Amino acid sequence: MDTKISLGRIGVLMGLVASLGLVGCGGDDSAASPAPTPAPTPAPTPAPTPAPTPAPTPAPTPAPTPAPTPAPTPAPTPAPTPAPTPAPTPAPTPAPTPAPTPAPTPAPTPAPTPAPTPAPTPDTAFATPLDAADTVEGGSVASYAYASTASDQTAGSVTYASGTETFSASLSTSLLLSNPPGFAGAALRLYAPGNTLTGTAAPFNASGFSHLRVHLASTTDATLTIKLQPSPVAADGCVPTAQALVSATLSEIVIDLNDASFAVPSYCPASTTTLHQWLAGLYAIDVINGGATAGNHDVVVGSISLVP
Amino acid sequence: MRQFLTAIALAASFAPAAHATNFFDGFDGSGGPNGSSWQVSNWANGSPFGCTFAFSQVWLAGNSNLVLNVDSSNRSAVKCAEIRTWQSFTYGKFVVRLQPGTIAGADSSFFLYTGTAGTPSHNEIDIEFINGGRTLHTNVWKADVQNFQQFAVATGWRTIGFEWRPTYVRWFSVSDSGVETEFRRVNISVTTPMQLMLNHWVGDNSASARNFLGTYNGGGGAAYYDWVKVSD
Repeated sequence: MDTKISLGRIGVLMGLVASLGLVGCGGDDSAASPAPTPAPTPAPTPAPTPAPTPAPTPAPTPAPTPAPTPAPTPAPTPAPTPAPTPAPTPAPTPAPTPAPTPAPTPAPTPAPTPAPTPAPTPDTAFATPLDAADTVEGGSVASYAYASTASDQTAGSVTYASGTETFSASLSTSLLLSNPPGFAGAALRLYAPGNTLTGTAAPFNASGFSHLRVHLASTTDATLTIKLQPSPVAADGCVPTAQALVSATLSEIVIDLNDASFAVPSYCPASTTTLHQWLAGLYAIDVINGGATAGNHDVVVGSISLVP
Repeated sequence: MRQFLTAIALAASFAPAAHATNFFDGFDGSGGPNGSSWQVSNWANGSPFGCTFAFSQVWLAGNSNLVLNVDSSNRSAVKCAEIRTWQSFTYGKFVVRLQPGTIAGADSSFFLYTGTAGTPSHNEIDIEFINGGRTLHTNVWKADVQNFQQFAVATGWRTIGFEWRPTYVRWFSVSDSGVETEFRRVNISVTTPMQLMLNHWVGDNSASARNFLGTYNGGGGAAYYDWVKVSD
């Protein structure tokens, strides 16, 4: 009986302590965990043998194949108050060696005049919007839209304003709610310099460039898909593809022209064509808004250029 | 009744700090980050990290920004920065306004983490900016199995976050007017409480580091964090 009463009192007291926010169980930050303050670095005691640096954070997790990206690796069990690295024992000061008779100091060699920093090589323009149908580089601008149930989609037309092309399509219902989930897209296609909708294809050799610089926006969605199209264009979309995170404000995005950034979608059959080969025959660049929810989905594209 | 109260009180007393509390830090002031909220790393992780986390590389800039710096003045002893919350969270919305670093071969991040990498205890939800701040790497690890997706992004300030719920994780960007737009969702059940972490580090040019971050050719600089917010 006495024991039960005592435990009860202790429990109530601990509950009060908890309710006052002195233990970490929710509440705001200041009332959360006991939160020991990181100890200021104390004066290190010289260790006779330098201990290895404590490594509370293990090596990053190696990414399983084919994952190219190990995640950042924080400490698995971080010490609440990580011990500062012990200072290594200072090496004993070697006895000074008698200095030999100094040789005459040679005259300093005048530093060569530094070469002027070369100006950065400018981009090569690929497609600069001129109007709703053409680019400054003599290429065409086109649009297309697709949906798993085409009757649910209404496509607009390409408009030009302030150096950008805009295209949108709307869905009357969310195709994501169908079973299996459907798909849709609204896309702008900007052809390579000198390539028109009706002319003979003359693909652009972009294999010598390292980056693609593109100006993108969408007022309706956060991601746009970029596809590097050959001639003839691949209607199934099985071409090198990148994704970009965009906003309603036109912004410049620079994408590496490498396999990490541009990969053929996983739903496609295995391809033996290398990115270098795709780039050597670049016919057009598609920018797609793949939004499939009900409502409007737009894509805005400004200038596209290639960076050496 | 008394026994019941005792049980309640003891449970309250010993429950881990695992709630998605309404945590916020605007990183106001100067000096170091709030020590009651954040633990500052001061150690070396080893490969593939090419730097040592140091107290000296973490500070409040006095303009409501947290600086996580990379100091490469000594190329053979590069210093970098990392902080983590003392408390752990379970579920909630995690949002940050930041300007990622732009060092090639570096990573500036905002993520949740628990466990030991390489073991089933490892769980993690990531927002990482790599490739000079031009690539956003999103990832969720459950029992050391990852599911990632990358996006090309513009450099500069942005507000971005993720929402962690019992059956999914979704990532979203936030416009200047405060409108959230989802850009990725993974249906997954991660249940283990995790600490919130921010870091800015460079790779050591090992194969693993190059594969993920690219090549680090030297150079330093800062990643800036305006605020961090966690809500239910």
